[in-house]
Amino acid sequence: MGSSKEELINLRQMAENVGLEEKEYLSLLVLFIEMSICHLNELKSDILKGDSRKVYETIHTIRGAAENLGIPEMSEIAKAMELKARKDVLEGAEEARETLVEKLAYLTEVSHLRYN
Amino acid sequence: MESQILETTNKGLNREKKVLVVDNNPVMLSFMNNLLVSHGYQVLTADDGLAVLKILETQRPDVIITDLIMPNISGEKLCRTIRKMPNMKDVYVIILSAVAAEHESDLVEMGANVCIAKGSFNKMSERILTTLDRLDSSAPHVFTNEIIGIHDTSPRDIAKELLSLKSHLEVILSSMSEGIFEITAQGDIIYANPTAICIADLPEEMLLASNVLELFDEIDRMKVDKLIKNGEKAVPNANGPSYRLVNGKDVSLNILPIKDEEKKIIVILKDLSDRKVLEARLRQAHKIEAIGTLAGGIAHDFNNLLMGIQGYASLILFDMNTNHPHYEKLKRIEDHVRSGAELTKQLLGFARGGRYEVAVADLNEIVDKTATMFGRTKKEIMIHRKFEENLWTVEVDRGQIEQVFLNLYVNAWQAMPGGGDIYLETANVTINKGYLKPFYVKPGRYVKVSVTDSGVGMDEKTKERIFEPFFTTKEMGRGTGLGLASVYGIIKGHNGIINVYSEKGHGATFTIYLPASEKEIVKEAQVPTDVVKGEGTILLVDDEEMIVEVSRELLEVLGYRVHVAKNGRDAVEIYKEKQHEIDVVILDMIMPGIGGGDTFEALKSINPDVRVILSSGYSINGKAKEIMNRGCKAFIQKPFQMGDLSDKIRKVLD
Repeated sequence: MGSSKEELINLRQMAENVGLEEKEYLSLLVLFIEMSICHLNELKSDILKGDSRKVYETIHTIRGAAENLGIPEMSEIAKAMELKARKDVLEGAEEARETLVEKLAYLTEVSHLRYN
Repeated sequence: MESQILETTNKGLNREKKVLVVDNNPVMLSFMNNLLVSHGYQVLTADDGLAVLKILETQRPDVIITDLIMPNISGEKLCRTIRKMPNMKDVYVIILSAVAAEHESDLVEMGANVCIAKGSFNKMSERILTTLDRLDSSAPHVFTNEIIGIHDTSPRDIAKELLSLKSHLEVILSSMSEGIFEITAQGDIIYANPTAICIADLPEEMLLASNVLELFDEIDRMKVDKLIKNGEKAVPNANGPSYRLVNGKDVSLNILPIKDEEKKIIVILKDLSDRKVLEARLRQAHKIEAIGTLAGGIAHDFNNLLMGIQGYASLILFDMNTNHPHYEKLKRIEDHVRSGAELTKQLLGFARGGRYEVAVADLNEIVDKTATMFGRTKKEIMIHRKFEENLWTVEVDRGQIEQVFLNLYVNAWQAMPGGGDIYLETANVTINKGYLKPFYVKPGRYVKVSVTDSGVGMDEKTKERIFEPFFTTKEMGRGTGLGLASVYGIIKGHNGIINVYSEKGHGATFTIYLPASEKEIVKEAQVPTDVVKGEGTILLVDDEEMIVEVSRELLEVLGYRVHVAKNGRDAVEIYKEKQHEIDVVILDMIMPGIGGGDTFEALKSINPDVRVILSSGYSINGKAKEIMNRGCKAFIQKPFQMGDLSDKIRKVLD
């Protein structure tokens, strides 16, 4: 995962990319993580139920927020899921969801390091 | 998230404009809040359309910035609703969306003033602030704090205001499975919930301008009018009268007058189309059952006749040399009896059952074996197999299920004169409640087998009658019409489901679902055909003269001594007297007076270890099985083969 010094730089870079102060960026990131945890959990049962409308709406929100915060690793995946769900296609949605969960977990660790 | 009002910290600036931000994304809301407050705006936030409507009850923002994709009320609908509100006509509405461009939404039609695309924060901030700046320096008159009164009281405006004020009720109304109309005393529709809109199958705008009676077919219009005028509070009755709509649907009605000055009325509709389809299918199923019972009775008598013929043929053959001139002929008689028995088996199969030896089986193996057998003789048919690898096991009577598949292949073959393709597929499925009506089967794990042909297909009328016994589309002499009927009966007897999908010219698919078993397969023992002679005394109980004659001779030839009883009472008498002599009792199940079951109980009370073989021309399902469970040693179905008979007796004696 790299040294903590690298993480510091990462966050600062990310904040800079979107034109925010690091402190503000971090608080928004935490908000994003909290929200996404809930949504990704909900998504699991929505995908199982085949509710593509709900999946579309939820993943749209995640995508938007990920784009706001300049996290292409998540926004790209979310966007692909969103486009499919809009056409009622949920193939591969569960795998994509799991990938997003992994990425979110990583983000959580990173932000945790600094928030304390 | 509750709405928040945040004071601007910089009173020096003259920008105390109120901005309402709507977005279900908390990251966005937080960011926008920070951005706008830091630039001197008063900010209200809401995370969905309902919260907005609530806020708008008491607040009047100068600017509303809203996202498009939100749950409950979408940004688009929110926009439209806001614009229709009398005091919101001059609010500046900004759509902030990632998808507005993709959706090609008509902003003007929606009522929005401008759309800003979402993106990274810095770009977005720039655009938003620029837009807001421009508003500030534009000509006056754009913003007033006057609350403009409601201009007219047309039902449409009332409806929209109802919507904005009773937003939480709308959520409830939207999710009901019944259709709700609110109508004036004259019958004009002023509100329709989504289900009502669906049932009426008309756009909301059209509904809101029409009279409710116009929805109904002429036949029922008068009745409905009367019903509404009487305005009685009726208790909803699922089996009550139905009324037909212009669009053909049947609905039940419930009228609830509202006791207010305007005398509005609530009309509740329930779509009965489902119910009618179910009723029709149930009737069909009942009809088939009734015919089945009749067929079962005929089969029973027929079987006894066959038994007689079989028995005597066997006896003659027993001590006849193979060189004898009549040997072959007698053998042929035996063959014909077997065919006759097959036929009655089919009929019995149709009469709900015919199960007699249920064992755990692998359907892949059965389908494969029968397909191979069938394919060998029909070279012009290409058979394609697609089997699920770890197919669950089922508990079935092997012979009957083989018969089912053979019948389906034959049916498919006959639909393809000149050759064609048959596709066989197996799969594991789990069926939930919804699919099962009106078949009386339990939800759970099932094994699915489908047989598809590329033949001529069936029209609707044929499809409806296809499982009826004696119904056939083939010419006289070419088909018995029993094949599919027996398939239906056998599957029903196994607690399964069968359905057919077909269109004329496009082939047909028969799909069978059988309940999956938890058990594993055990290797089956071979049924012997050799005749085994034995020693001992047998009590034969049967009320049919013919059966008794033949059976007695058969048993004596096998080497047994035979006592005969024509009914249950006699059987018990004889057994009481001679129980020490009698080794085995062959007991007929269906007899007048005391039936087989009660006779068995009586015999058991004399000697709890009594060895009984139950015999019957009927299937083993139901009653027979129950008697078997009480301690019968074996079951044999009439007409019985000598080999089978001798083997079963031997087994019971050992």
